[in-house]
Amino acid sequence: MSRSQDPGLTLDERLKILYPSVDETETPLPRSWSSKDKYDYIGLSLNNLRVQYKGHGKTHKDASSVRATHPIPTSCGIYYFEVKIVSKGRDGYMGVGLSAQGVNMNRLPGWDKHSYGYHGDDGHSFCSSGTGQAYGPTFTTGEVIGCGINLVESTCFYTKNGHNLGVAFKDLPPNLYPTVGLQTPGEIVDANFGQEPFLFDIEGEMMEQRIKILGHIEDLPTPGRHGDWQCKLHRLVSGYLVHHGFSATAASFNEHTHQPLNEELSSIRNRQEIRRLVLNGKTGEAIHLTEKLYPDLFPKNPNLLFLLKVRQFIEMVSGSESLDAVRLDSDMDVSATNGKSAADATNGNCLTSDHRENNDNNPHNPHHDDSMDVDLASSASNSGTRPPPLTRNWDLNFAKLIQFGQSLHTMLLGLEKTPGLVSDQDLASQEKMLQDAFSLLAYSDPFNSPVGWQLDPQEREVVCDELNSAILRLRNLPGRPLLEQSIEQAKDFLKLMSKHDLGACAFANVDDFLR
Amino acid sequence: MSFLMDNFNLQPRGLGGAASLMTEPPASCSAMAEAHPPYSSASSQSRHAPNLSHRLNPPREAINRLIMNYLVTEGFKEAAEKFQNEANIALPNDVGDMDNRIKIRTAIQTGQIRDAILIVHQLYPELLDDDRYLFFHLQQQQLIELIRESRVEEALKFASEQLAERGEEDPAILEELERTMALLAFENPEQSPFANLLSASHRQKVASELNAALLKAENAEYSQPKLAGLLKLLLWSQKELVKKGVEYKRVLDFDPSDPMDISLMPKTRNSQPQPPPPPQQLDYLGGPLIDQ
Repeated sequence: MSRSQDPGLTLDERLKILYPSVDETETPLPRSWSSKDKYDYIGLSLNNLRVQYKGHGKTHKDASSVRATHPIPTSCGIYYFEVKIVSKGRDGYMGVGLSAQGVNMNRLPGWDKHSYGYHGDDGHSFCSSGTGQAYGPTFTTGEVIGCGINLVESTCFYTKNGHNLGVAFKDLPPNLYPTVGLQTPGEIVDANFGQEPFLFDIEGEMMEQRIKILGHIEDLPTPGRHGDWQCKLHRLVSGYLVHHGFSATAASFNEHTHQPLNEELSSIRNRQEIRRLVLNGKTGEAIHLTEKLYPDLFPKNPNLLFLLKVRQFIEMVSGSESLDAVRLDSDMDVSATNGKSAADATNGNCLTSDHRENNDNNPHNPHHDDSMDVDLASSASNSGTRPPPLTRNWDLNFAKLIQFGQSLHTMLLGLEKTPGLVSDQDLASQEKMLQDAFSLLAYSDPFNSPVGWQLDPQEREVVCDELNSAILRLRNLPGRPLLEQSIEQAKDFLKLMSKHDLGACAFANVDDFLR
Repeated sequence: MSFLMDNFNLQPRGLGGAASLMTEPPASCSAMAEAHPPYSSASSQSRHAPNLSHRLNPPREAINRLIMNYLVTEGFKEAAEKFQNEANIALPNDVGDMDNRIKIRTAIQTGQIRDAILIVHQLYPELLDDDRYLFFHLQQQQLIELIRESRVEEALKFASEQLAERGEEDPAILEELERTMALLAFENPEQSPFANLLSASHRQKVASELNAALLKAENAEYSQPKLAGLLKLLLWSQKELVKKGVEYKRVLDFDPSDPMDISLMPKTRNSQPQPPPPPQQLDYLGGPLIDQ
């Protein structure tokens, strides 16, 4: 039994296993018959899965078909559905197959151009023609007919009761719909688009196709002269190592591959140190070191500095960043503070020094200041592995935190006031960023709050990359290593393949190489 | 998205997750183009708020694993160990095998074929039984080393005891065996028509063949580094698109006669907005990835 044949799976789960490359927001999979795209003699029931003939069934002019709601997406690679014959009715003139949109529904599948079918009464296959070809056995009540479409090779095969009957059609056009047709009274069939496990092991077929395609890829001759390929791989690796400041690795690798470093080792080490600080949650120190090493950077990138400061604030909440640097100055410019609060109020933000107001505005947190303090302290003592956030001198620390946050807001206002410096869109996202960061204060256990994702160390990588890229761009080096661009490009190409009916894209996945 | 999350065990984000940091939808096909900021206009670009979306996909950790896989597969042991420290990433379990692969490669390159065969027998007792050609090539190299050292009697004995029977089974093996034995007919084999058998590059060839077989035995799926597979995937997908006649816009001034140029940007036929200007300095390592 293959994975998709687990009877416990839901339709969604099964389709996800079978067709992982399909993006259903763009190309939805067929899940039922269409109540609109059918001829009058077709009756649908059981969530549009059961098809029943309701006509007189006197001549072939009474034939009647129904298509599925959506065409089969190319990115399936191989697509499969099954039809169970509930009753053969009077004569058992049932056809299972595929048709393109617009094909006449007053017909059985296979009789017209861009229509393909396998018929129960004679076992013939009909390839866009009124005359059938001997193909397989006849089928009747109680039997299950499967229809498989190989979108890589544009072929179609059928199964009967779980046994493959071989290729029925070749050179199929793209965008075909699953289709069934009936012609005599009493004929009833049930479709299975993945609602139930399939009798036939379609994953086996898929695996075979995948191996074939991965084989093609592996056997692809490498371009250029012998040895060039190796050099290019080495350059990609070295470029990545240098870019992200893995200085010792880069030095060793380049020595062994006889490549010169394209940046001074000391310079790589500087970036490495900045990276280390950010990744360890020491954003404040990272900012200081960056200012020292690259004094031009922040004046040219005020947004970047803002991003880093917000991160610093978040690290203060997480407990990674010390609050010692923040001095609660009593000689703080009171008038400026007041002015700021007023500005906040008019902006509809609640970033004022009165955090009680902040709490009241937040429906998630019914606590008052005092109870919140206690909660935070107790939750901190519970979380053994994390650095305890703000355990001592709670009031003092909280005041420091608020003051630091306020300075961020002042900074944001400064960015706002300088016209042309930051776009409205960017400002909006920065305000959101600051709001999210401030929201951390509203929760007794910020780590498990709805905004707790900000405390995930993975977020440090994001900030770290922005800083590193900005430094490199300042020095006229690319902000992104060629290796990462290449991965991006491969993903783009695969998506483009699925848009252009190249079904092979289903079996080649960038992520397969990143596991 | 959820597929990626499955693969990389990404934590689902809570309310107002990373997506809320962006003003644009998460990287979709069209948004992918934004992943290529125009480096040339660094100063103007830097004024925009950072677009954080693409940075997490693929995650840094996944690419680090790709790099580690490369270093280990290709036998850059020292670099792999340094990377373990610097990137805080575990060495793959088979790093012991990397030691052995390096040992085996060194043995073959210095002519110690017997040693190499012994190690292989210990590690993968069935490998040489299953791959008769590989085993023959090793024994052939062993014979070549005996001839190189002018140990004629030993060479004859070795050939008749170990190799003659093989030759009878398989005409291809027989032919190679005869070419090797022909070396003995020359007073100075290095000047003979079969001298290439004595070259260092012949040793390299055997060593590479064995290395690939060992890798295959270690991990049935990949006998080449994953990075190489990834780039081939890139080349393959581009080739398929070219075959299908999907149009591309050349964004870099590369030789148009080279369809394998990986630095092309796709141009869709319909009137979708064009991606932003491409990077101007893709080639910061002294030449484009694929030759101009």
